[in-house]
Amino acid sequence: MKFFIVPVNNGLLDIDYADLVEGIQTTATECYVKLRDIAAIRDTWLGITEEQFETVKANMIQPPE
Amino acid sequence: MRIGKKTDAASATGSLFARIAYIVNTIIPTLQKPRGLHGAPGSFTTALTTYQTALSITGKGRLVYLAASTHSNSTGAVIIEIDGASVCMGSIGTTSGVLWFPDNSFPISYSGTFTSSGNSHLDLSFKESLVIQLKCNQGIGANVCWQYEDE
Repeated sequence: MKFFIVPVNNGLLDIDYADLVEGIQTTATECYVKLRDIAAIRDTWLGITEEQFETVKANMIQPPE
Repeated sequence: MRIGKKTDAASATGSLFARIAYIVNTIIPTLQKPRGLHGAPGSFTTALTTYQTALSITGKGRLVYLAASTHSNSTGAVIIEIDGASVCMGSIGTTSGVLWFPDNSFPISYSGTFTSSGNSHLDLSFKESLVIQLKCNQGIGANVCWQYEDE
């Protein structure tokens, strides 16, 4: 799997959605994504580590109260 | 009806060979192709209070299942568009995490929380496109999971 921060334009991720495994959207303009290995990397993406992705995911998805 | 020749041009009203060529060239390509076991599962989470596109694909296929959930004490909403038409504008409830389909009349997904998501078998076929949109009403967090198969 590959991990990136990708732009979001008007609610639409700048990706080929066929490659999307998991997305964590933190703001209106960017989204942390886990993509399939076949995904073609775009210049607008910022590569991150799996650990960074999991940290954002853990902070976003808290256990129920 | 005459038998004709193998070289006859495809025609729905021509010789037997012409009609067979017509079926092979025109009708068979429109039939549903066999699907394999491979599907495409995915998940999307947002804290945004406006609809965000969780999934947008083109082609022919089938939405197999969908599950939606929200944080405790929050609600969300999901839109499913098939071939450009909205077929579901469901809400994700506060206490039971239920996504209602369509238009808040029939529950399709009981998922409660992020940590105990369930799913519902939908079997919604699409010929041209599939779009799933999601929003979280309170800005805390909403999640949708899916699996689709394409041809």
